[in-house]
Amino acid sequence: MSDDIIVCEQLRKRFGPVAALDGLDVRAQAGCVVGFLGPNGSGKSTTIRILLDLARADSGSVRVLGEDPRSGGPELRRRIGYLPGEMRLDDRLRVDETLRAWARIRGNVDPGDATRLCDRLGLDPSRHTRTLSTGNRRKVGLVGAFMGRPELLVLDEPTAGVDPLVQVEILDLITESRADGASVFLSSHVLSDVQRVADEVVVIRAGRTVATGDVDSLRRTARQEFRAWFDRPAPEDALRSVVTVSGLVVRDNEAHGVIEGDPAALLAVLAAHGITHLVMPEPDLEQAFLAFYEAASNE
Amino acid sequence: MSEATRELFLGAVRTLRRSTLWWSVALSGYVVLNLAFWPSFENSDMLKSFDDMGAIMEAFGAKDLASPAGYLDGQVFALMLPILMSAMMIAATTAITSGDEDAGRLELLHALPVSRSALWLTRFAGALVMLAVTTAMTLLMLVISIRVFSLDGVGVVDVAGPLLGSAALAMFHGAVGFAAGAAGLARPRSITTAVAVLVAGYLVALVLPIAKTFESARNWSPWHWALGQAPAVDGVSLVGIGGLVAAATAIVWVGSLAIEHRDIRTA
Repeated sequence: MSDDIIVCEQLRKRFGPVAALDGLDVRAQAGCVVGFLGPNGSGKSTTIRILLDLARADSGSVRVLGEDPRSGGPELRRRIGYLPGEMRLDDRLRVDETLRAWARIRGNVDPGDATRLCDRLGLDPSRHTRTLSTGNRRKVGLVGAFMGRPELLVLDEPTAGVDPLVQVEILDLITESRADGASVFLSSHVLSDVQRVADEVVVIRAGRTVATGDVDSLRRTARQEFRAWFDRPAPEDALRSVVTVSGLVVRDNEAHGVIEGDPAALLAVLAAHGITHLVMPEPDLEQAFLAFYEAASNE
Repeated sequence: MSEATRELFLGAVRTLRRSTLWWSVALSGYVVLNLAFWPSFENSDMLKSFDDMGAIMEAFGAKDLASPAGYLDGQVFALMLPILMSAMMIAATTAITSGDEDAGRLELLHALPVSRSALWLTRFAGALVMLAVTTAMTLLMLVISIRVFSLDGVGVVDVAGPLLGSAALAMFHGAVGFAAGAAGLARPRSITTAVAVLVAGYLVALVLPIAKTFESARNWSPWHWALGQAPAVDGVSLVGIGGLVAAATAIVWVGSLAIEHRDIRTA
């Protein structure tokens, strides 16, 4: 018997003339954190909404925790904690009222869960939801998703809009949930978040899966820009000899280019030639997985 | 009732509590203000002259305006109170169903362990509580006002019947707004649909029959089922009101089926 907690096969979904999903295949193993990566508009949120039965696929099959989300209904959703991509709260309620209402609807929620999670995320439960910033609204959603300790957490961009310290706390919560036996399906376009917590990744583009695998193997193929300054003229020949470097541009004592995969060889060259400063900005997914996207476009 | 259903229902009631208060004040104020003018008009020839205008005035529900019951019909029950109560229900049901869906506030609730139809039905039930409270407040103010302003010969039953009819009419139009939203229309279009039914019903019940050829058309109007032609003067038909409530219930039921068969909109 398969221990896949999420199985999507050949999912298709159109919104008028736009194909949001075009034969998407996704598998997520039980007990893992699966990063679901793709640029904006690639179909991540549509897929997640289908998993929660908020949207229905035009064709293809979906199984979540072994059940069809539509026929599984409320009992299936009781086993899932969900954070939507856009947090819209009832502005007429306070945070604690909102969380209490969700807990009563969900059932079997330890009343202490919400309090503990609010403390960890630095969320004041007495505040009115209409006064909350985007980041704090996201925290309310996270508390709602994690409380009750569901078997499966489906989190759409969990760290978007929150400050770096809270981002670390959120990633810790995800890691702890996995350690407690939960599975996590984590959508993001921030590669570093996924790298930190995910066991497996699924990369999609334009509604189709373009890559799947473990994080390390994908990281080895990912592209990242670098810009380096030296205390002497930049070592152009040495840099060009690094096979993982491409798009190299050298000017005086500055060089910039793109490193694909393991940076060890590049770092060795830089260190040997008097580097004074190095910048490697967080790559966006489009750039990081350009090879996959180009391959998918050419099909 | 499960704890989840109870929470959803109470949540809907809580959401509408402020609107309930203000609509109660508005409807009560409208009733008191209109009845307060009765002593000034009671012996006026002006009201009798309106009666002489016949069919045209009947289009506005005015019949036998010089009598206390006729005055009540013309000023309260024939047009304005049913319209106000229907507007209230259309606004309330669409605000907490299609309106909340438009704003993305239902996304998380639909992801919780509760069926879509239960979520939407508890919201309609919350709007019904609002209707019950505002109707009770309006009845109280009507009963007090007919005593204070000496509308002689008008009893509690004479105002309770038309008020019940107005509430049934409001429930019906709230149901139309609910079902339109459940079928997938955004709130502005849901409101437009319900208001179109409201206006069409009024025209069919009161304006079209001015032409004798179309007199029987009024039998197709919810207005006629709820209020007849002169509810305070002639009384209302409980069968008609019951039929309207049954029709509203059927529309809500169809709406609750529709919401199970479509995507939930994102904001």
